[in-house]
Amino acid sequence: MKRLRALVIVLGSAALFTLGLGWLFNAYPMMPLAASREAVRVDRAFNGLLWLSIPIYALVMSSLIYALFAFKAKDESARGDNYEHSKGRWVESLWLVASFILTLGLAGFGSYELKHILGDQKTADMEIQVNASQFSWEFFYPEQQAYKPQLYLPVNKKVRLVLKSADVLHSFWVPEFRLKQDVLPNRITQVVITPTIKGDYQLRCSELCGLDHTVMTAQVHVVDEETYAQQFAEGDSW
Amino acid sequence: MKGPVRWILIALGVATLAFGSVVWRSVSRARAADEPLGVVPDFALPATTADGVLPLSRADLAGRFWIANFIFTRCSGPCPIMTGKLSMLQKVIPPDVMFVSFTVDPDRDDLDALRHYARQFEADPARWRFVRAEKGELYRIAYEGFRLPVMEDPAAPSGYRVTHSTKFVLVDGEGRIRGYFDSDAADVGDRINDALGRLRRPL
Repeated sequence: MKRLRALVIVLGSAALFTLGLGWLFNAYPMMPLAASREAVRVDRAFNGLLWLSIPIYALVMSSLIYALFAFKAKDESARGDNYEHSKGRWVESLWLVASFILTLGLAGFGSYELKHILGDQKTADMEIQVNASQFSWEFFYPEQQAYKPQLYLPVNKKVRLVLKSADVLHSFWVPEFRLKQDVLPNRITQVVITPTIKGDYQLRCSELCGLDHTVMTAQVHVVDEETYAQQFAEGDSW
Repeated sequence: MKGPVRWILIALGVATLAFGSVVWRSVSRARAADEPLGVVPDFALPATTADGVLPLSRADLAGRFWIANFIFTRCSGPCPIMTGKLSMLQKVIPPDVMFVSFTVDPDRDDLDALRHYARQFEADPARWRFVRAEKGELYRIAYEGFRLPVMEDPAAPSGYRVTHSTKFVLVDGEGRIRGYFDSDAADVGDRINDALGRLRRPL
């Protein structure tokens, strides 16, 4: 009867705790809009881990808080006598095995998403060159032979961005696309992104690059193919 | 440890190794070759160790790998953490690799202040130099050589007057930059050692 009561208290409070945390993370999402195919994969790995962690965290904390009060030693002599006679060893083995499986499972899950993001980077529908310099971005569109101060991306096209720096270290980061890539002088780096939601986003430099680092931004426009073509119709390179 | 527990642990160990090798093979990419990212310009500058004044030039570092970073002694931001990390790395990175810390606040950091700072962080005098360049020279080395930013805001509070990169830069025996490392990464020592291993391996 005593065990049943303990079980009900622990599981009940763990369930309440889970619901509360679930509501909190649902009501206040931590990530901005996921506007690229890669962002969806990053979020899936992140949310998978988060949603699995919530009930485990709730269960561990509930058990801990319950144990703190339920098993408080009444006096000095009552401390620590019962472990040898308990089923502690089996509980420990079970906990060990379950944790192992869980850890490997999560590592596998994360690796699966990572593999898909990395694997997807090998091919692309089109290429745009990104030139970073203190404290601005410039984009060269090889097909149209045009330079622009803003990054235009056709929606649902897989784009390879070839990144170069003219001076110091910079880093390419559009939070809604999730991927981040350092931009280096004397070495070309690249990142492949498939934007999936039309809209205006902001590209930021995410590697300290000098006094105006914080204002080193550029507009990113994800548009349909027609609008994309219009950008180059008048041949207006800047 | 006896009976089932031992076998459980052995089974888990084997499972982890097998799993790890599969995951590693599926996600590891060919690492970017560590081709040079630039060249550190020649310099000959006043410098100090924890023991005392000992000038340093790029020529003194010829033939040795070295790790450079930027700090200032009054820094209330990342410098103490970064220098503490480097102090710890003295035990992890092979002893022939030199450490060179450039002050980005030469107006206020004289060699005495730098020596005191070096002592505070138990900098091994045999391998770790603290260098003071005048501003013009410093900015030339930072921007044109290391390709890293340094900027001063005289109006800012003392501990925040200079903003600078927190990267560790790995330089080879010919003064060429071979890698940038985030000083706040928990495994920065392993990353540097991995790079050193690859770079030292004969082709």
